[in-house]
Amino acid sequence: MPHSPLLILGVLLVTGLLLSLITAKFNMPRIASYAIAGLIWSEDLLGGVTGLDISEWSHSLTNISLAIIAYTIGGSVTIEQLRRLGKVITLCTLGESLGASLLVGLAIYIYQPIVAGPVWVLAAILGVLAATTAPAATVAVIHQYRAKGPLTTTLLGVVALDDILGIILFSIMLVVVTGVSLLDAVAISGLEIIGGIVLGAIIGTLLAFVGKRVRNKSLLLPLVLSALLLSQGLAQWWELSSLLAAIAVGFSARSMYQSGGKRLFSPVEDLEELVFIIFFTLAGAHFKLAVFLQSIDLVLIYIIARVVGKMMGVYLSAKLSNAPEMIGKYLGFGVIPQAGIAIGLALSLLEYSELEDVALLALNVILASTLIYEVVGPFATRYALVKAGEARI
Amino acid sequence: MTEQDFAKISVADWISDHPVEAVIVEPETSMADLAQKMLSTQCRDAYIADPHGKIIGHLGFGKVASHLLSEHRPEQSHRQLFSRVTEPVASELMEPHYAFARIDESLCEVIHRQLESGIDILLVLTESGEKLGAIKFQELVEESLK
Repeated sequence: MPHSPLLILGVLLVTGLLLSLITAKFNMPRIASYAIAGLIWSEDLLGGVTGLDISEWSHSLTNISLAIIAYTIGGSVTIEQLRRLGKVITLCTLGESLGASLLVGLAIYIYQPIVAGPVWVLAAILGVLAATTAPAATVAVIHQYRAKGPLTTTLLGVVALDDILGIILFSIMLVVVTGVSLLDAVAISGLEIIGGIVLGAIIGTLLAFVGKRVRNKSLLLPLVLSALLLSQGLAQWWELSSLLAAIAVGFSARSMYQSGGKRLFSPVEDLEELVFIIFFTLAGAHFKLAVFLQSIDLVLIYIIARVVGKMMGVYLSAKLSNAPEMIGKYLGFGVIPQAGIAIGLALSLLEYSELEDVALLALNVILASTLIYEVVGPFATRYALVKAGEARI
Repeated sequence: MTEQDFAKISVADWISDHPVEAVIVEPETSMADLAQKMLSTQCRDAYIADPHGKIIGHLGFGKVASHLLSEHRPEQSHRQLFSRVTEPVASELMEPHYAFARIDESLCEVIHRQLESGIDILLVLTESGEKLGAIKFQELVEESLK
């Protein structure tokens, strides 16, 4: 098979879309179809037979896809909205995200799996990836059961907010694990993090300024993508955190534009499905049976530690914020799903040669666990809503 | 009236012959109150004015309804989720970049703008952004067919 990146990408996307259309008839989650489509073209299956190679060119695609997601998430909330979210949602988000991160990181560090490189790096990567959730799965269940009430509102706020926290934690972790030495890492990390935020804030402000003056709606998507590409290019050139830059572009553009953000964000939000097809098919194509078989224990540890960490984190933060008892008891069940953002972040690690083996292991763990969470997650969310008396069944 | 005559009518003449009420609310108006106002006046457009009467943004009925009925949507972006949870007021969802007309323009200039923006009731504003009048799209179409 010719090694044309466009042909390979086309094959992956077409397989993903066709499979999702077929499996939709059996109520199978779309993301599972995308991942299976990628899996079909992995090295152990058709990818090996046809000599398909995605390792050379997929990094740039992953980076810009991730930047799109980071931009939309950064622009999803304003300072005023953050203030209004209230103590319960804010503390519960911190609790479930940090609880999962700490417990997953700790569990993997204590387990000491055999990996190429320091175990703490794998523990840090998987720990941070455990923070994110999958709002789409949660929203679908809430919609299905027409749930309404304090738990539902808190849950919606938490699943939206923890992805922001997850991406920020991941950006900081990445700066630290790719740092030169511990001493240098502190100085370089500070520069990469603050520099990325400042760069994104400047470009976001300019984007809002120009966006207000553009009358032709069809120019808005090219305008946003241009600003995003510029921010990513400059961040790479100046060795700043490109993910934080993308979040900052979104956040500052939304703040300076001073509105619901429809004009600057809606066109990009329409790209989200394409981005998730790319993430899941690429992740599926990177699946390696040998790596997976070696990491079954890690998958189990990750799944259990993440769920327990989230539950404990929610319980403690609900107590701390004097939330109603049912929030502490049941919110943890609603934040179990994990999907595109975790996969995208894990994929982006493959770009770093110093993390190559650990990154591939982490990606396989995240892919396997995502598929399991995708099955278990909706049932857990349903359980929480029913127990709290907010589901109409 | 010929098509040429119609297009030459000035906005000033039009609004004096065709007075139209527009929904104008304060920035802190809740989305539920805004929807009530739009429903009672049968207007699909609402404008937000600051305390000095300067129009600072526009909200269409579709956007208001979309927010109020968001729980009926099976898929929501992060932006929509935050909006749903934090119960925004009019100024937080309004579009600060909206179409309007000036008093010294002709109708042919306004029609194109109204077609492009999809706004039903287009405000005519002073240089400082205060409302002088409004143009209803249906009336324009009706007149053009005469």
